[in-house]
Amino acid sequence: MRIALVIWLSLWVIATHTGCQEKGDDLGSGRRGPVFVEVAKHVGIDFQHVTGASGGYHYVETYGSGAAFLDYDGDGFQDLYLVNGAPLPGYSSATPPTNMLYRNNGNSTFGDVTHMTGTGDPGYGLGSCVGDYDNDGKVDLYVTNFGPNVLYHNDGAGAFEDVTRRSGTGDSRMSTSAAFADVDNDGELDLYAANNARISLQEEGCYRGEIPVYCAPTQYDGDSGILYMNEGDGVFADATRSAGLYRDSGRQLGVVFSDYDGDGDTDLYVANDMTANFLFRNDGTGHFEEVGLISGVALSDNARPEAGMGTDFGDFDLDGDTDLVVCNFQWESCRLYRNDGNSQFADVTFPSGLGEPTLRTLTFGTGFLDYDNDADLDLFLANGHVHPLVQEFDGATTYAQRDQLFQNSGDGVFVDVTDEVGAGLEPAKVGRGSAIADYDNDGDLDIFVSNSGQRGSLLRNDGGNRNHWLSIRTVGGASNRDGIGARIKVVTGGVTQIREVRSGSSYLSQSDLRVHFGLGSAQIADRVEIHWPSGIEQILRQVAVDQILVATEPGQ
Amino acid sequence: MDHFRTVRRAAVFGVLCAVLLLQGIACDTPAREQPSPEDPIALESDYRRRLEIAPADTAARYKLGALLYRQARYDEARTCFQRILAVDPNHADAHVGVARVRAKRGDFEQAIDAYMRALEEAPDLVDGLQGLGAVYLRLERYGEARNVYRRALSISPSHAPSHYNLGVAMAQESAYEEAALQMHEAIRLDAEYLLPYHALGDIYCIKLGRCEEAVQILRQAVTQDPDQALPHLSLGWAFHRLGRYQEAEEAFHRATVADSTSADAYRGLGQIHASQGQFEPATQALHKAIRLEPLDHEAHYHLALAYQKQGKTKQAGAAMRTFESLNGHVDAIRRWRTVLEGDPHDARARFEIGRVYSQVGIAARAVEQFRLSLAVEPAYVPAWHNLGNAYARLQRMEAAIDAFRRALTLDEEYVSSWNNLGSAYFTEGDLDQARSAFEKALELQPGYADAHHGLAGVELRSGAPEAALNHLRSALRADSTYAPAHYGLAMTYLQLGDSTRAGQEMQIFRRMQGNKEGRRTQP
Repeated sequence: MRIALVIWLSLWVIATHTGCQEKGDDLGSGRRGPVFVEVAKHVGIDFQHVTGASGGYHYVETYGSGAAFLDYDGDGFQDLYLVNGAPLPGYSSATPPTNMLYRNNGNSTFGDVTHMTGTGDPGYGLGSCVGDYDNDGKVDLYVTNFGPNVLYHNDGAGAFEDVTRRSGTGDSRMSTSAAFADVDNDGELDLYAANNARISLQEEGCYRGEIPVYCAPTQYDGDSGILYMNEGDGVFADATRSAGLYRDSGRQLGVVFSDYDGDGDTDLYVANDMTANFLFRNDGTGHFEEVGLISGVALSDNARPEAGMGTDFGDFDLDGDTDLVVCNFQWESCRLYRNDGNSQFADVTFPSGLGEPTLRTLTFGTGFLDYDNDADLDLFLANGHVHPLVQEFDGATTYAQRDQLFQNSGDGVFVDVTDEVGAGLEPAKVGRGSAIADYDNDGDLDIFVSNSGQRGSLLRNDGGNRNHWLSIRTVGGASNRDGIGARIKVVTGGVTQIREVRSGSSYLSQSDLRVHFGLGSAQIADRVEIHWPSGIEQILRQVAVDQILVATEPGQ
Repeated sequence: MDHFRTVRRAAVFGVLCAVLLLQGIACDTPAREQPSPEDPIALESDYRRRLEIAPADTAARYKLGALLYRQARYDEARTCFQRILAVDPNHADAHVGVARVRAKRGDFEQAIDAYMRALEEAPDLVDGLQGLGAVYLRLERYGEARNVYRRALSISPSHAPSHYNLGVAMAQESAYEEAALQMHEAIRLDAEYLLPYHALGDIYCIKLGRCEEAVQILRQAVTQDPDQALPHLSLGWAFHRLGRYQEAEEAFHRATVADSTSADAYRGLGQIHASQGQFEPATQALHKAIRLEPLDHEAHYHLALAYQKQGKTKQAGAAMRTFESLNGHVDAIRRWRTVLEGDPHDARARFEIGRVYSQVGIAARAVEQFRLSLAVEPAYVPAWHNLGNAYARLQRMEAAIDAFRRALTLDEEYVSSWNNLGSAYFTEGDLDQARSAFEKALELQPGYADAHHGLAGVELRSGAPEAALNHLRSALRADSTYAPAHYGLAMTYLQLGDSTRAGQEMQIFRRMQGNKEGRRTQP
């Protein structure tokens, strides 16, 4: 049920920070475009992912982990939570690996606050997502594991409390991506965790000739994800079946919520490994119908299931609805599905230019972002193979692979600009989860990539802020406190862009809850419309550019 | 030495092989063949006359065997080769002949043995190496295929088909760049050799995404042989990937002109129309594809999407349900269709395709395929048995009975055929024959629940409900999950006037059926 309440606000703007940037020329004037510089260690992020592998070729070792940007201390700067693996049989290390939380010091450096915040879960971590599930104004954190998942409640005093047992959210299967969303629009965030396969550490590995390899996903039975409905008071209940979300035919990896049909409720896409992907359409009451096949987003263009890993929604063609990207294995392109309305999508993978450049790569992290602030969504892909010895039986690929960046040319075509955006994307790594945020609050989007068995990469965007921008942090009232699920439209001149406030996306990861709009050369945002999950609509006019705007839901 | 090949069959087969090779389907890639310029009847007469005069004329006997092989008279061909080997066990070419027949029959391990034997006698026998390589490809043993073809090329480096086949093996192992090099070499050696063009088209476009290069290559193939559907088909898919829809539409249209029975061509047309938002012509073309090939699961999928985009949700749902029912058979369909496109006389492939038709409920097509399989391999018991089942589904009980009896003539211990024979007789109302058949099944397999159930039906119809009860209980003792027995018990109790027990049994039956349905659908 939608309550339409239009609140007219004049030039009331709360600027939390106005970044310093060079204004002026569009990038099309011949000036050098943005470049990405890898700065992880330089800024104090000294994170080494551990797969826990010891030669047993356990299936879970291939999955890597994700990363989550969150402002846990509410200081306006995005902190970074990094998920780690754990020892598997036969693995030993002097210092047991844990997840790590890095606090953003606000001066483009980070400090390890894992211990003091109590967030160093030692489980075999895969993914994470954030959301203020109890609407107390402090963002909370959910971690997925191979084993019991963990819900951390942010106490607002610089620490987190493990409330898994109390909350009832400790699913103990092989959970992968997760996301908070208010599926029934009751103002409280619910939680969906994907589960992949029923595996055992007692299983034997596989071989390709004499070469040991990880077994194919098709050797394992799939498992259903789980929907935890928020019952208030910090307690969740398993509502998977009653919500129509129980499906054990998939091997779930990527998860992303979006109101793809524009009907005011949030829908769910799940990318599955070697089975049809799921598109769950919400009827508005928190009950879902699976419509992936008939909507054209379940399979490849030759009706085959693909590896289905990272995924994201974004309006790349600026027609007002969210389109879908899902990325796959080597010899399977990343699929781009254009939303044609009426719950129908068209596979435009090859016409968009994404098809060929993504054939040889194996893509996990996937995210739409406007890296050059030219008012359209570009695409970042984190790549890396799963078989360490792949070159011994497939000379056409490598274990470590370069990440890729595709620039939206503005006419529905993506151009591979990986070689044009600086040294940050040059090294080949074993990419897994990727998360996007403006960590230095300078007006352009940066990227963190978690690399399997390697150090993470923090790719700082230098120069993306040469074009104008607007970043919006939502504060819900009737809606959930983070405003997750809010749909924001920004109109500048003849260009209308939409974004959604979203928990979880990509692969095992969480990007900045603030939504970022590149505005090109626009000097002012003519109109900003916020459609809150509660149904409230808020319109701001003549909004100044180059700021981080805090938009509070009216009516409270 | 003759090579039992024809250009056209190899071209048709090899082209489709190239089209589908990168979908992970092993291709049986026969070496390139030349047409016999002479009348085969005259040739056969000549060879037989020579053998009448000189029975030890191994050359004539070998040529006769080769001729019979080309005519798909495999048993006769094998007899020729075996007679040569009876006189000269070291005759390498005869071993190759035997190997080829065995491969045709699907006896691949025996074929390998025969090829190995031939190569022991003549290690440099290129035909033997090629045939062995083809069997390895068929068995998806790509590493071994690769090694064999490399060996063949070390002896005969200018042999274009060996380069092609080596490329096939490499492509199956995802070594696409290397595979492309082999295809290029094959073309360089023989510009009129069509197979590598099509393989290159697929490698470049479908696997490497270099569709512009694929278009250039495929255009050359079209120039070489414009009357074949497959080069136009491959061009169509390349244009599709490039987003050049008008050219794709023209290419698919040319494919339908070249071959009006090409389901692939109509599916391509359908997809192109759909890509351009022309959903009405898209559905027409896709329907045509499905009429030509009901197992074309991609056509069903795209038809469903096209209907959905037109708002025809009911039709969309029906098409999607058909697609989903075919989904579990996709790999089998593709594998066996590939084989059949290259060799319509492959008994095993016909049988397997027939089984798929049976499993998805298209009994009439299943009958066709089983009969074609039996035309090549008349002693194949499972084919007779499945033919019987297919006839039974079509309610052609006499034909079903005949088929089951044929199976049992070949193998009197084929217990399933006894049971199904009993069911067929039961349907026909011949209770005596039905009883006899079910009893024979139970004699061979005492715990056969179906046969107990069948006998129960006979007893019930014969007015012996108590005897029926005994058989139904025996069925449940053999298999406690055997739901039909509970239904049978319900009917029997009804006949006995015990409606309470009848109701209980019916409840159990419904619960068991419901559980079975529940496992197949989502809760």
